Amino acid sequence: MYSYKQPREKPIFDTFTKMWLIFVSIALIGVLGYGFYLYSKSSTFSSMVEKKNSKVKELEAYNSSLENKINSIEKKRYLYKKIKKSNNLLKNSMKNLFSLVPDQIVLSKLDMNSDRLKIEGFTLTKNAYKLLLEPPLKSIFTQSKVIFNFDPYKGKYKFVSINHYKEDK
Amino acid sequence: MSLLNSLKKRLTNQFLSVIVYEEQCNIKQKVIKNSKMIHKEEFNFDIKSQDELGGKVINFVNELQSKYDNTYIALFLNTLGQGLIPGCDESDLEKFHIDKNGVKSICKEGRFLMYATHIDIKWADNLFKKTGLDFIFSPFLVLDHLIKKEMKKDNFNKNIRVLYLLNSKNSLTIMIQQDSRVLYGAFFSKIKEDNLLYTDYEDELADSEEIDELDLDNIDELGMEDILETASQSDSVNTLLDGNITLSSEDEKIIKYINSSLKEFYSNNLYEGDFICTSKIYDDASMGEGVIKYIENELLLNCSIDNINVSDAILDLSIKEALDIDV
Repeated sequence: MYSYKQPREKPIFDTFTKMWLIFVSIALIGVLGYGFYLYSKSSTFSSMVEKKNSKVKELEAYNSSLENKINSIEKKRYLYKKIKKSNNLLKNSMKNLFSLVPDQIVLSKLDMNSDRLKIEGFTLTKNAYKLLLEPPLKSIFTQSKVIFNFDPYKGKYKFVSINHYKEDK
Repeated sequence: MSLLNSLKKRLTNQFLSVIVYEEQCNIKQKVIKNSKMIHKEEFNFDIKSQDELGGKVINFVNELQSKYDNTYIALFLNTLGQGLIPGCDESDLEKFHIDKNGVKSICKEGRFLMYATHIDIKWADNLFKKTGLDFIFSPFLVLDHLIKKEMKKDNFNKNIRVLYLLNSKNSLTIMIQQDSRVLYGAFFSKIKEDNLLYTDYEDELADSEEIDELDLDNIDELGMEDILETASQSDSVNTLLDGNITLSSEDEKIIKYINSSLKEFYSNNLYEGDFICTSKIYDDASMGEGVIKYIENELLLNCSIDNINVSDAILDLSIKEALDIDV
């Protein structure tokens, strides 16, 4: 610099341009800020959606396990009903059977199956059996066989009755 | 910064050179865009005094400034309170009886120190208060700019001492150089001797601390002593020349100033006074033939003269300062 005086400041932009630039930059900052705000919001939303999705999957898994449980419970219930029904049936048939047995006959062994009944016992006379027990047995079972054995020590007939029940096909 | 500078070069820049004479003001306008000149115009205005530009000039300059965003205004400093010393040592100013605190000095490439009093710089600032001012250029800087152009020529002789003169309308600047080595420099104002010290000096100083700095010793620094001394020799000048050529009063002044400068250069031990072989005149004020005759016949120096325009040099210098380019 070889001048006795420093030159005046020469701003590249005049006041109007400066104002314009300031406004534009403020607007730009606003838009960028809003954009950033939206971006951050959308990212939190997407993370939330992911969380919810994983929760939904968890719940679905829980749901399916519950369904399995329900199925098994249903099965148990069905089995229980079936068992109860058969038990009832058995109970009734036992009750019926025992009500059939007259006083002259004493039962010593009973073997019962779904389609077979084996009765062992003692009777004073063959007729007592044939008159009092055989007719109801024959009415229930399709086949009824009896074998008598006299027991001299007891003075009674030991009998073994085998009854079959065959369904008509 | 460099980015800013390259951007500035691409913009439109207006440069104004202002030279204030006693009753006239010369303004030259140069408009530059992309390092190329796109407009150049010169204007001259009459003014009432050198201390006031007047409303007309101020309005005109401000109007020019309003046309372009970037305007640089440069002033050619042609007031008496300035000078030059060889070398760049500020402490040397004392040797030449110049108060270091009273002047602003600028070193040019380690070759010479040009200085101007704070009063003159303040005067220039006040003159352009209403328009603004960017550069104040010393006439020595202008002369050195012209000499540098000369030195680039092939036939430039590096081994001889040359007396360089810059003749402007109201001032004469003298430099003695060998190659790029500056040996001597002096500035003279051609204003009537009554007006040499403008009265405003006192007003400027009235409320300033610098009042002490302008003591009588400084008259020496302003070249007054030499002028007064040589004034008595003026009668003898005419007799030295042929009867055919009559010297104008301005030519006489120029001769007086040259004589006093040479006398100072040869006699003062502070300068490396040695024989000068040639002289080169840069003329912006149509110098009389008598001066050249006098230099050739009486001082026995080869003399060549170039017609130049100081405002163009000022514009070149401001463009160089502001944009660092040559246009």
